[in-house]
Amino acid sequence: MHAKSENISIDDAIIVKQCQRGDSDSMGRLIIKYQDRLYNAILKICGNPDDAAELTQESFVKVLENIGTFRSQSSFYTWLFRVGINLTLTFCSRRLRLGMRSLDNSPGGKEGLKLADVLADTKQETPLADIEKREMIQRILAALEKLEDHQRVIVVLRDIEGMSYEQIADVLQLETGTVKSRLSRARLALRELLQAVWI
Amino acid sequence: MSDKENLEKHELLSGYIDDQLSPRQATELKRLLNNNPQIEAELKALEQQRNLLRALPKESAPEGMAQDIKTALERRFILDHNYRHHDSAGRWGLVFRRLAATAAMVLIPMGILGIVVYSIVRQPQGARDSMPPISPIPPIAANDPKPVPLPDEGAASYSALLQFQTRHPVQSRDFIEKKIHTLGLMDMTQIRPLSDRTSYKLTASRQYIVGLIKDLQELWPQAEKATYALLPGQGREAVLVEGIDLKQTIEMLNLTDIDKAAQLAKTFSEQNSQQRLPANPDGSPLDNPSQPILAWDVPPTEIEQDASDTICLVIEVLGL
Repeated sequence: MHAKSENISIDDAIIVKQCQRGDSDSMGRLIIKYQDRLYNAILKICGNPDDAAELTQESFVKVLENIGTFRSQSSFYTWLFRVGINLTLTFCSRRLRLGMRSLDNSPGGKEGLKLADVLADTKQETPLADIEKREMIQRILAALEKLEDHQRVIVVLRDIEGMSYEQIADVLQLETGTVKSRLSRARLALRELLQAVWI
Repeated sequence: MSDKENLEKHELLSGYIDDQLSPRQATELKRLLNNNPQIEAELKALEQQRNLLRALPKESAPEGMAQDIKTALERRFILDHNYRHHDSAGRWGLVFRRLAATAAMVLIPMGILGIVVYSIVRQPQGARDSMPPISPIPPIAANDPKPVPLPDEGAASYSALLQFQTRHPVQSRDFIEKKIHTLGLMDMTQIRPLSDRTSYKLTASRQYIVGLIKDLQELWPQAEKATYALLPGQGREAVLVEGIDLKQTIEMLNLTDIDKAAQLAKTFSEQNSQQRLPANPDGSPLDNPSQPILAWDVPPTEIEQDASDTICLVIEVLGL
């Protein structure tokens, strides 16, 4: 995983240089490369596909508008995610203050339906296994949504996006040791929420 | 097993499934796993949980997102371009410029006339002195111990002011703005240039503000004086800490309990009352800041407490 991330960074350094010279094709390459990963992570954090699409777009616009000031002190990947996660956390805290908690991850919500469509394509499974799997995914998403925002972010970055501890530390501006302890606590909190799924 | 031991054990297991343990820790854990079926069961549950999360379907961005982003960027570029190069706006641009020139010819003399009239009929000195200050954020001074709260603090649970008086205000401002930009905090920051200072109002989660302050550690040696004010609100009085250093600032910001924060501020204030930040004789510029080092020993329990809550911090840079 770590080696893969380094390769990503080396490629990005070249593309970013081209973007800084005003090459719009290179900007397009960066968008295509990261749009799905950023969107998927933001969706798992905020829980609403429309909000996630808007936040992803805003993150890219903000980053590419300021690409000229990027100094390569961190990788483009972690810089993009830092901006995206900051925007998403700000959005989540505003939503919480306004009492507009998303219900889309609850069973029967929009996310659930989308996942159900994905699962319906799995032809080899029996209808019963299909239903069980769909229900399991909905429960995981619902448990994830019940976590505190900062706990959900760290679990999504590590266990869904697959970032290394160092990359998470760079995104969240934390020490690696703090990432380790926070991730452990977030996993423990998620386990307590999920226990009903596997007991 | 106590809660602390349980957390430590879980951190060990969590590190183990991510291959983050030292060889010694891994060996120790393997021995524990061989002798304790309960720990082994916990490890399996943790691995199962991680596998479940990894198995979640990867959602793709909506179709056309790349094009939408490019369009948004182009739109902003065009607006910016038009703003800068309105000379090339064609016939209507020419008409507009002529109208603007005519308006300027009328308005400028009227403005000058207005200033002259105002200077003649302006209020007497005594009446002017009783007027309220124009600046919404008054300066901190030793004889002004009660700064007023910010007018739009929103839902921030904690509001504070950190003021630097420096002989290098331009470099300090550039340094702060660069760090705000690098950390992606632009959306959470309001910048207000005033006649004698520049003010940066940040409303963000505690962890991001603490992260920014850690990155700003190089401001302290450049400052003649750094002052921290815990702003008043909800029945509590303002507390000033003159000569505050980086470590004290981090400790103040990490305290979630406002009463404890006020108490700590009083303690720091007393400690610092006889001290001043030493002036930097070299006055070296801040154009090449190095990465921050871990120069504090705040107990982890304080860092971990409710790290997601929103606070409001105003950073001010005053020139000497």
